[in-house]
Amino acid sequence: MLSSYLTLAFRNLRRNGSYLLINVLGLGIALAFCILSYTQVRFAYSFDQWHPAAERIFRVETFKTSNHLLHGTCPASLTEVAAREIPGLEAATRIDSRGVVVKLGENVFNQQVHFVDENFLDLFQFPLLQGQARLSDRDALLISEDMAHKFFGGESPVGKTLTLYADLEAQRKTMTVSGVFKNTPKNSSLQFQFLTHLENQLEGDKPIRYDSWKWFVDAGFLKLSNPADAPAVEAALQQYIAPQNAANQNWQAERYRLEALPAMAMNARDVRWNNLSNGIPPSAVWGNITVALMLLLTACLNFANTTISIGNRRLREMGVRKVMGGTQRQLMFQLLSEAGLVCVTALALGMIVVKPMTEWYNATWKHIDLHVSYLDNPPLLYFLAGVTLFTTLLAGAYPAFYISGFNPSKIFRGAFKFGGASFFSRLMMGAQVAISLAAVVVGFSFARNAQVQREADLGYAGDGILGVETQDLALLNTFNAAIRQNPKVLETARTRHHAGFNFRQTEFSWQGQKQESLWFEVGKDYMPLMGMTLVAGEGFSAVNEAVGSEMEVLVNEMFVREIGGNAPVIGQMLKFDTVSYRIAGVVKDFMTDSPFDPKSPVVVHCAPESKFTYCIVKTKPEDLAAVHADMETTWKALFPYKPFTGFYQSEVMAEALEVSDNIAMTMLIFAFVILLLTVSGLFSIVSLNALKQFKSLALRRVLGAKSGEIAFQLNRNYLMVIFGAILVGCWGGRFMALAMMNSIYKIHAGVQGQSLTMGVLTVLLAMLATVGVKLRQILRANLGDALKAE
Amino acid sequence: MIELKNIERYYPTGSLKTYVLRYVNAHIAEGEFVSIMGPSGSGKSTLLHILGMLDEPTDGEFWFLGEGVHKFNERRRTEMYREYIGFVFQAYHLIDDLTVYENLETPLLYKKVPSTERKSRIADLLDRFNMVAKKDLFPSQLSGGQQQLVGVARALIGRPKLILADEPTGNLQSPQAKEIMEVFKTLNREDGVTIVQVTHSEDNAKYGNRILHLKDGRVENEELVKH
Ligand SMILES: Nc1ncnc2c1ncn2[C@@H]1O[C@H](COP(=O)(O)OP(=O)(O)OP(=O)(O)O)[C@@H](O)[C@H]1O
Ligand SMILES: [Mg+2]
Repeated sequence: MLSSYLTLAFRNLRRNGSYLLINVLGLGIALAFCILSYTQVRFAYSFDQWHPAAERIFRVETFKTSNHLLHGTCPASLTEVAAREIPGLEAATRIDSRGVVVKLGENVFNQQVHFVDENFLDLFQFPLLQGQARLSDRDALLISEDMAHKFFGGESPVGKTLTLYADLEAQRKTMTVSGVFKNTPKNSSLQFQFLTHLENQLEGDKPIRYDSWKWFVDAGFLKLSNPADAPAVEAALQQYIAPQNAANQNWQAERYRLEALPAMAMNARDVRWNNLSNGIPPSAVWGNITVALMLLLTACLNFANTTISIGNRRLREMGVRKVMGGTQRQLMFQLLSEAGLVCVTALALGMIVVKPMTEWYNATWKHIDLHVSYLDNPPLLYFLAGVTLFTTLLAGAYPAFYISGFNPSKIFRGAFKFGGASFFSRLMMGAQVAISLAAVVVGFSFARNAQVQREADLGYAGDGILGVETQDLALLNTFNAAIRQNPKVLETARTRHHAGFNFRQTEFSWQGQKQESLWFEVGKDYMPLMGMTLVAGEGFSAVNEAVGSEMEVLVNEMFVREIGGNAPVIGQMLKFDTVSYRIAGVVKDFMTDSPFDPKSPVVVHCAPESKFTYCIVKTKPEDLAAVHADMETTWKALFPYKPFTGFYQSEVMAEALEVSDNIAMTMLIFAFVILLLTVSGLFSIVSLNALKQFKSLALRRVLGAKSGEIAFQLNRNYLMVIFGAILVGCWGGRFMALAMMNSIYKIHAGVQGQSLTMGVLTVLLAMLATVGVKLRQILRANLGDALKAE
Repeated sequence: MIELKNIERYYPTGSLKTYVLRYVNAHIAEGEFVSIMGPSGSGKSTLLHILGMLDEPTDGEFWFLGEGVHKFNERRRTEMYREYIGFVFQAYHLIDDLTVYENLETPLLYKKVPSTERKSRIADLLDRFNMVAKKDLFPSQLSGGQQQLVGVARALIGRPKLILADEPTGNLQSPQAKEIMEVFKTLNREDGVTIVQVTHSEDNAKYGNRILHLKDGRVENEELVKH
């Protein structure tokens, strides 16, 4: 029976080429996106799980007493001591990192180097491509594939030497590359390029004391004999709260917590000072799923609609089959197997299309590396089987039920009412319009967001600002003096902290209460150069280069609102450690970091020269590139051992803009695909509707009706539906866009009226164009033929 | 075989009832060949649809092989189509996407007849109707008369006890019509199949043994055909 159904389905589809094309394309793209979403979910939940011992490895995290927040760092000696003293622990390992100047010949680079215990590669699996690990050898260095290529090109790096700490004469150390490891996979929380023993992490010219309770490492891990012991081990760890707090008065720990390695990346966003890399943002995961479902739903609706509209050719067959003894269930099964055939064809297309799509996706999102493979991936195959079945039912069930449900007597009499204008089919049309409108609105909202972020008032004049960073004050001053010689440089300023780059997070007491804010220590010329403006009070009254502005601070407007309770704050005191500061003035809010970070209360303090690490350079916007080039030449001439650390201030916004642009782009592509599907569905429905009314329309024209009246006659059924769909689509799009923006950005433009208006116009225009094309065909048709037809 | 008692069929038109059939009483015995005649709009097709259980009377009783049809559910009705009733339509109603062979096979598939038996039954019928050469053609590749032969063959393939035919020759030229009528006659005589046909042609009606004359929804008179 099934084979007879399939033969029939095949012949039937061959006759309806454009129906097949539209639906296979639509469903194919939708299914491709389902595969992509599925792969991304798997990727998001695959972080760190590929280590053979993943189940038994736990990260030790610390709750801080003062704010009860979870911190990713861990006292340096904790894991070592615990491994010795707590039963059930098999091993402990630590990882720490810092920026190091690495030199080979004339080339110097700033590189992040990771320092680990000898047993690090026993717990974690990072395969070597060449050489040996030799982490116990204090002079051995492991480098990644990428670094091997960057420093040594095609040559084998094993046995070659690199100079670390090249900029610091006392620490300078020559190390031998003992091995090259495979680039750390993107679904790894542990990302590193250089790996060496912990003892090579120096402070001054001495190794850091990793047996001290004072120092924190980026992460400490414990390997348990049995993961079920985790609660007991966590309880036992609490005995080390006391030694830690005794050793470190400034940073009091409340409680230690064990985080299972497989769960670490997903929770990383809630962890402060997480120096490991975060997993995929949850919004990217569910955003993608939402889009995939929207696409699938549209494609299914389209499929259902077009199936019904070509279904009237099948009605007679249905009637005949019934009187030959077919039950409605058998007929439904037949129609569903036809739908299944279309879905399977679409799946085949989707499975091919997803490959280039994944490449595009990986290129767009740098932190994501998706691979779609089928044969070695049974879960994906099950998923595909499930999704195809689901799609078949979703798209095929209603038409099958509808088409097979007619009373044969009515069919044979030709007395059935059919198709396009039925309530359900209008509802489906409306749903499609709403979905495509929602996608268009999200696309436009993100495009608008990118534009707003581009033009945003940062609270400082970012145009024409460049900078360079160094921890060495003498270098900073030398460079500052040298670059001021360039006539294109308008001004320079030195500072400790710099908006968009760094700041401190501090606690202080305010009217007897503990409060937290960002703390910027700046040079005296910094604020004027950056164009930060004072909205109340005065600037620093006196600045002594040796101590800064000792007792005065400025606060931002947010501080006044959130901490000051909108009361006058000027003249009030805030107490930090043992020192009290008087608030001298209020500065306008400025972007402290990037749109990914929240607006916060800020305290600005004028720092003494000894703390300066940045030299900020102001020029005319048109001279930016030239000055940047001159900065680099000047730097290289002055300090051949130092990598040039120059930057454009615009880099601060670059990532936020790129993310917005990417999402806008992605969403607009989806919107386009969905709109295309909707329009093709609309086209087939209008055709059907028109066909049914062809005769009466032709008659009306003969009787003298105008085109406008005919258009109304043809489409009045749809006007209410479309109106409703516009409301739902706008609301849905706004809801989605806001949800996505809120989860990505802390500062964003929201959904503006113009995005909604543009969305509605785009969708309406596309639909009007479709209906217009169809109408033209009808109105141009030969009236005589129309009247003869039937 | 068929017992109709006071069959009524009306359509509501506004608040009024328009009767299409009224006070229809009839008895059709197994092995009869009955023709229904009457002017256009007199309710012939409606009556045939009721006999074929495609339509339900609004009142009256319909007994088929001793069972009350009003008690039939969807499943029982489907069983009737599979086991007892075959339809022949004026417009043939072959399935366009299936070949002659496949069209004939469809009722057997629903009846779950095993494959070897299907083959032999279809082969028999094709042979009997001289259609062996046409078995792989699609309906659109046949003449009207040939299509109706296939339509009749399809009605017969399930070995029904009753064949209902609504103007089976309405679309055909008289020689082809005659051929179909001859087939009906043989079926009736040799295989004992009961046949009820609607026809406008006196000649065709004479192939049967009895004629019901319908007028305005009533059986006006009955006429026995003398041979
Ligand atoms: N769905 C319906 N609603 C209202 N009236 C109907 C409906 N179906 C049929 N009729 C009416 O029932 C009457 C009988 O129709 P029927 O098709 O049985 O006639 P007929 O005798 O077969 O005519 P013909 O020889 O033209 O085929 C007609 O007057 C028709 O208008
Ligand atoms: Mg009729």
